[in-house]
Amino acid sequence: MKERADWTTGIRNRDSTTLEAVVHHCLPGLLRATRAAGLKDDHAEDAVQSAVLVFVRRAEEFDGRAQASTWLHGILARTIQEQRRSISKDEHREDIDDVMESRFDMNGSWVRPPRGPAEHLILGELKDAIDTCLDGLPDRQRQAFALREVEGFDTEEVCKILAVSANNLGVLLYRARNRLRECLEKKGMEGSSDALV
Amino acid sequence: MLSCKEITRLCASEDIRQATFARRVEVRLHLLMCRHCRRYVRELSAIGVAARRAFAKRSTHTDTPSPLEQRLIADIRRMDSRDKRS
Repeated sequence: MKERADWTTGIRNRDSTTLEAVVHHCLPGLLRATRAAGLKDDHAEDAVQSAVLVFVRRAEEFDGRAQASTWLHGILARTIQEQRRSISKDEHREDIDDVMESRFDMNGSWVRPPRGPAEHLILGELKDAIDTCLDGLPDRQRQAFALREVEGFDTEEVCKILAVSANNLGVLLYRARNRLRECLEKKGMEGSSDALV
Repeated sequence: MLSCKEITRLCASEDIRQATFARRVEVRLHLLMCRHCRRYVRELSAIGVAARRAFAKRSTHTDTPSPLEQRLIADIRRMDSRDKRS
């Protein structure tokens, strides 16, 4: 996904042709990231629309140092955080760090080795389970995972978008991936017998 | 020697990317020898692929702008003409 270098001037001048081209270019990714971050249907479209309008209003501030899509995703990330806060429910979640801790002995060797479903099941029969498991993630972890894995931003870009340090992002991704893995492992075991193990 | 626990931390956080060459080799060797960690890493990457697929099918470029894109374009033009008037 390469952006045009000559967009910077157009964006700064709020040239509407350029802005429309940017919107056209970025829209599918923005929507996908919003849905992957957990907003559905109208909530997702509303978030994208308001982020794009903020982007247009603040277009003069665009300095071209980051790509336009990185800047847009950054604005969107904050919009999503606000929206989710207003519609999110209070859920009790077990602490994934403790769960991980319990899987190793004092030397750091597995005592409960991974028993997740085989790859072909994760990609096949269990592919709808991923939605349910994603819904169990805390917002920030879900956003980090969505930007990294679904949108394919590199880690530096995700740090810029979410305004977090590299260390911080590492913790978010570590927790998101382990929560998802634990969740799918449980689903795989509920799903059926020894065939999965 | 890296423990299994350290392997999971390096891989799931992607801190491995900033690790030294020697450390990355150590992780590779560990994965060659340890089937549990190999399985763990494979599960993580399958989860990434599954998430990508789950959301890929729901948004693709089409020839006609979506209603959302049309709304946004209308907004942009409205803001543009307001600027020109002022």
